[in-house]
Amino acid sequence: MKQNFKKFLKWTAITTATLILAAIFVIVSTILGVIYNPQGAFHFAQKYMLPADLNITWEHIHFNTLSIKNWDLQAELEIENLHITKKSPYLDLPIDNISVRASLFFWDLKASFQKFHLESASHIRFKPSAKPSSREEKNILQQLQDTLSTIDNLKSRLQFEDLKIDIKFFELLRENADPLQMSFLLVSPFDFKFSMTIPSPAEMKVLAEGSLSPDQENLTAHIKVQGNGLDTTQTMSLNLNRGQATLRSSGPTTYLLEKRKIQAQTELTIDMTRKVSKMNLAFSAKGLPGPVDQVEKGKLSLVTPLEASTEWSESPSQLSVSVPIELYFINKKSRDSLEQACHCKLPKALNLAADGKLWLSTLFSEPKNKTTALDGNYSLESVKNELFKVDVQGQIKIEKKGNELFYAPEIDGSVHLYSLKRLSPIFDAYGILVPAPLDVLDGTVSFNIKGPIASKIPAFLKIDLFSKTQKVKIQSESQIQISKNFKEATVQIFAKIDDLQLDLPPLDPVRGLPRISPDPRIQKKRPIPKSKQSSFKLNLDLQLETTHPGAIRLQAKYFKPSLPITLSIHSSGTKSAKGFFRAEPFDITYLRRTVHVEKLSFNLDQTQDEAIPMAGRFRIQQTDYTIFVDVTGTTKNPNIKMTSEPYLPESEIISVLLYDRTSDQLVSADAETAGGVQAAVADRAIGLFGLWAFASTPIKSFSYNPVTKVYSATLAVSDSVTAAIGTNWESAAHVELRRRISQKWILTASWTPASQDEAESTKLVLQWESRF
Amino acid sequence: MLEQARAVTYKNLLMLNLLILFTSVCLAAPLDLEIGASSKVCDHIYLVDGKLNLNQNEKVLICGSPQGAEGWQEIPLAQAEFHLKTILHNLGYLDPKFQRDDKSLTVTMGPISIIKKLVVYHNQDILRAGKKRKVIGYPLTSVKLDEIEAWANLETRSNGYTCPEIQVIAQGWNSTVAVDTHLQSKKKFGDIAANGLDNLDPGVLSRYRPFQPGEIYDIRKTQLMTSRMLSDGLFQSAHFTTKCVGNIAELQLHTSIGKPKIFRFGVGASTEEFPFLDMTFRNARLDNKASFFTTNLHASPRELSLSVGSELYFIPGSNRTYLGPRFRAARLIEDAYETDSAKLGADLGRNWDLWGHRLNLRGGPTFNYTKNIRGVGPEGDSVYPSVEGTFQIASHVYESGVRDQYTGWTSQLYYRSQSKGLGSEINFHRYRLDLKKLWNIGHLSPPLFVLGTRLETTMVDADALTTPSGSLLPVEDRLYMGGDQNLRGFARQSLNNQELGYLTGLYLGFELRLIEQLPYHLQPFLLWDVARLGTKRYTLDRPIFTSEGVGLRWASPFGTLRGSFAKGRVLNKEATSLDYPENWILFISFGQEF
Repeated sequence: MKQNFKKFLKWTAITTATLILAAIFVIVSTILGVIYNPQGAFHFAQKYMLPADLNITWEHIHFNTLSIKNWDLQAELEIENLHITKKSPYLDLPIDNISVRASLFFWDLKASFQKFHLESASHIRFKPSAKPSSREEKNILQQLQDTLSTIDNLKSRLQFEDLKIDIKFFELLRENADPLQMSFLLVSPFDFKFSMTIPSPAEMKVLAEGSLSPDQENLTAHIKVQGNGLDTTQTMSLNLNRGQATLRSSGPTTYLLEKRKIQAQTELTIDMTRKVSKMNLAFSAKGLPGPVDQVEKGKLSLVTPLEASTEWSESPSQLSVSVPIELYFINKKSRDSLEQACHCKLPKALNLAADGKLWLSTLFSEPKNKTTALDGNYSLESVKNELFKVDVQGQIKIEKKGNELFYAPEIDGSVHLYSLKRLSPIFDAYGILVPAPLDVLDGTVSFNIKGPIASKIPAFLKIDLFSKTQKVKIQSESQIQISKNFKEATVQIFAKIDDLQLDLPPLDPVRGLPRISPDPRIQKKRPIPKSKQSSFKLNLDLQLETTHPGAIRLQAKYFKPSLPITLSIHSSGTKSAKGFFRAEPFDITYLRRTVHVEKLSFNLDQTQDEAIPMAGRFRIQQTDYTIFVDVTGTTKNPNIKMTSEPYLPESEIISVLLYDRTSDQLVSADAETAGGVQAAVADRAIGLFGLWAFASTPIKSFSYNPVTKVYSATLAVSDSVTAAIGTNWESAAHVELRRRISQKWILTASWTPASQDEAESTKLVLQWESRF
Repeated sequence: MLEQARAVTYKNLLMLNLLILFTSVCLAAPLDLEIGASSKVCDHIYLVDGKLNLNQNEKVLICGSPQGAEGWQEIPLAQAEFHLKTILHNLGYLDPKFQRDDKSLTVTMGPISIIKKLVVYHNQDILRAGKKRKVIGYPLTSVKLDEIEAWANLETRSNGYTCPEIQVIAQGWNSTVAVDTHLQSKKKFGDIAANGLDNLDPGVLSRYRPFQPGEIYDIRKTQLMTSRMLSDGLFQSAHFTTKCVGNIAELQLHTSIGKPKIFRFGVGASTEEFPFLDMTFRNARLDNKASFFTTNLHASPRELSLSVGSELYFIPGSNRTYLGPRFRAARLIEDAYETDSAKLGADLGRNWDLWGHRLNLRGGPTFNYTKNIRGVGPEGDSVYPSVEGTFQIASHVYESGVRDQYTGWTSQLYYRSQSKGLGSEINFHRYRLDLKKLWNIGHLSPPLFVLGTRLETTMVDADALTTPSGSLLPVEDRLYMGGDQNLRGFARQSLNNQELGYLTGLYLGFELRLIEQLPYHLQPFLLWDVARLGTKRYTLDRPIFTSEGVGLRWASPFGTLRGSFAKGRVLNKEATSLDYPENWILFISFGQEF
């Protein structure tokens, strides 16, 4: 037994010695192989030891052993055009030059680099593996501590006297995204320069320059980010001390949003202990878009619990925001007059406050089920005075599923204007036109909105305005839907007109046609095709209808009692409007003549090329005849058909219409006038307005040029013998002028052609005529 | 002679006064408001530069109106600015500036856009931009675009394109007006479908029709036809509606025929007569072929007359040929003579259209009675028969543009004769040929210069007026010259061979008229007339009569007012021409053309 044990010990000793000698042989052989035949050693390693998809080539390699002493090796290594490629994870690493001179202390596991230069001006590409490596979870404080600890550990084992790592082009390839382009420059062990380019959607550059002092556990850096409208320079410092971390960052930020320049100043402080992280952000900004132009002293705080070995605690963070919003629409210009009108002191700013819970564990993970990431409330400091009252509050909730965020903000707001007219200083100050005759209206306007912003938000508008002779009573129910990316909004409005009574301007048909629309033939600027993309798209769906027939009443001295309108119109986006509007029966009275409008309706359902189908029937009661004017066709090309009771042919109807007599009772001049009107009506040169004017006005003369379709009319505006030369002097110059003195007496200028004994001439004749 | 000229001028001045009065009445209508430079548009709207014409309705929309309801008594300044911007846009002020404070609006109209170029994109053979005047250098206004559109319409519709599509765009950024056309194919006149003819023979319409089915469409000819119809008195109204069907322009004529009998009574004035009284009775529809007769009683200080005329279309199968019986009794009172006369005659006449011209032929025997009360001519009563004939030809272009007198030509040939032995004491033939041609130099639209040329030649084949038989020649058959109808440097009928008159005359007249360059449609012109006269048949004496001078034509809405100031000269003077004064003569006439 004892002998066997001795044998076993002897066999064990021999075996161990043999193995040690073999190991020493292998190590020594390897070292000698590397030293004296590095290329062969590498090919051996590549063939039998390295991964198959790893390929390493170089153009020139030089290894020089300077000294070998005990377990210490001093050597030089020069490699030119080293190229390392690997398929998974994808790596394409061309390095132009590596120059190293180092002393390796194998026994102490330390290295001292007298020189370490690595330069690459070629494109280095790297695509990390899609599968994340499994690692132990740590919270952010732990991660910071680990990083600095690793750096500290490295510092104790690695020493650099001359360090330079210069990588000009490094591309980090990403799935479904453009690569990130970066460059690095490391010039001393812990001073670094870093630049990164994010190519899309617009190129953005990140420049970081800083130094790390592990002795004091401090990291200081200047970070500059430029591009895509953003320009910010942040001075950052990170301090780790006794298990606590403090991060401070501050600096100016400028952001160009289309033509708007937003300028902000931020100051960020994050204090981390083992259990909690407290972030405070103070910010000021100006040039903001929308209603909030400027923010002064805005504050945001986020208190996040930290748990050891957990990246983000399941407990929520507490978020609170306080932003004083300046009342942008009240400036020096309007403040005084508005305060005078409301008998109040208006605040300079209203505070927008928000608070809630934020689950960072949800925000930075990819939950399989829809999980709440943010749940909070917000409210705007309410304002109330004699003129208006504003209340806005709501909730905001963000949920996450996978990578997708689901916003669910809600709003509950109301605006009440107690006196529209007294608010006119604001409208005037900002060039908001409340056109006549609406500018004299006073009364209340109420607007309420309540509901989730992500879906359709119901909104209610109630307008109740009035003046001495006018009324506006409109109620509308709306639904507002804003897209998830806030680039599109759809507003559906269903407005009911209860009572709309407006005054028309005191125009006179015979006092000139007002030029109320710019001549579309005159183009000031070259037409520019509309850009396909706009920053914000508003889709308006408007349904407008009167609650009862004739709810709209337009008042003018010619309309007896007024022009009553009933309508139902549905307009949706770029589609043409559908529906109808029609005039209820009313009378038009002008210069002792009355036209009764039995019906006049416009059908928008079949509109083509801006021509609206119409149907109308006018009744004119003359002494012996009742004339009916039926209008069909479209607003661009109305067909006018005239009938009468008792029956008359159309030419006679025009005579009766104009002169209350049939043509056989007319003098020649009047008959020609009637014929001219008939020609112009047939050529559609006279529209509805003209026909009404002629039907309701004693015509003195009328000339019509079928070539230009221009007519010139002289209408009697009073009983006196005054008249106007037609609208077109040229046209008037081509007709014989006749001026009625009385029913039978006419002053004419007639042209007589040349005859046997007389040359052509013109005579002025005061003429009485009778046909029989 | 000078007194005679003065008397004529006095009458002309009276006539001028009447015209001014008439014009004043015409223009007494409400006129557009004109606002001067640096002036107020309203109490609170100021105009810094230029002038702005606003009509009454525009002023209501910009300034408000105390007559309006409360909402329209004052207009918000922003709204006024909007309307002013629109109006200025249409007037060619494309970049106006507005300065608005709480209570006032100040408007600076800025420079007006001036048209620098007129381009036509298609059919440049029809629409020649270079021929359109009064565009380049003129303000870019809506009215100017209307004018260009009307020009394009007229040019295309006059060249066979019945239903053109014309688009006019003013490009403010490069001051160019662009005309684009889509003309389709040329159309031909179709048959005329007429309504409102009552029981009238539709063939009557051929009397007025200046075109034939199958001819290339020309809208001016449809206008000419309706113009002829309306001037006849038979029709109360007439107008065409046109439809494009294939390559045919379908015409529908809408007419209305009045009651046939017309009685007119009038008092008035003309260049020659002031005042006059007219009573006319006309039956415009004696039968279904629209035969008619007219009776006219005319009384003035110069003439007292009663005339009855008729055109009877009774020849089967012809609507253009007529028999025209006529009677006229008159007393003519001139400075040089006074006569009583009566004429009874019957003509055969025809009017028709051929190759773009209107032709009228009329002639027949006349039974004459004259009694010379004062002045030259046969003494006592004379009764004699004569034959009279007239042939007139006028281009349609002249006829349709007779008011403008821009282009076209017209010619008349008159003939009258008496034969001794057929109740007449003398034997003579009187020929007169008139020819007038107007040239639109450069075929511009509107013309820049119109050159008018006129040839008049008169020949009386009779014995010399100093002979016993020659002295029997009626005054109306003798030739007198001078006046605004021929030699404008001499007083009216002042070239009269010591009041005996002449037997032969040749006259050439030239006039160069400047169009549309002066305001108010005033047209200045240069004139030059030349004539030679003869005291014997077919012979021109040595003296040459010339007139050179200037004049002014005003195409007013009620007729043409002309004035000329010319100096008469006599070259190659002879004994008979020594007494003729060579002075500057002023004529003012109404209704007469070159």
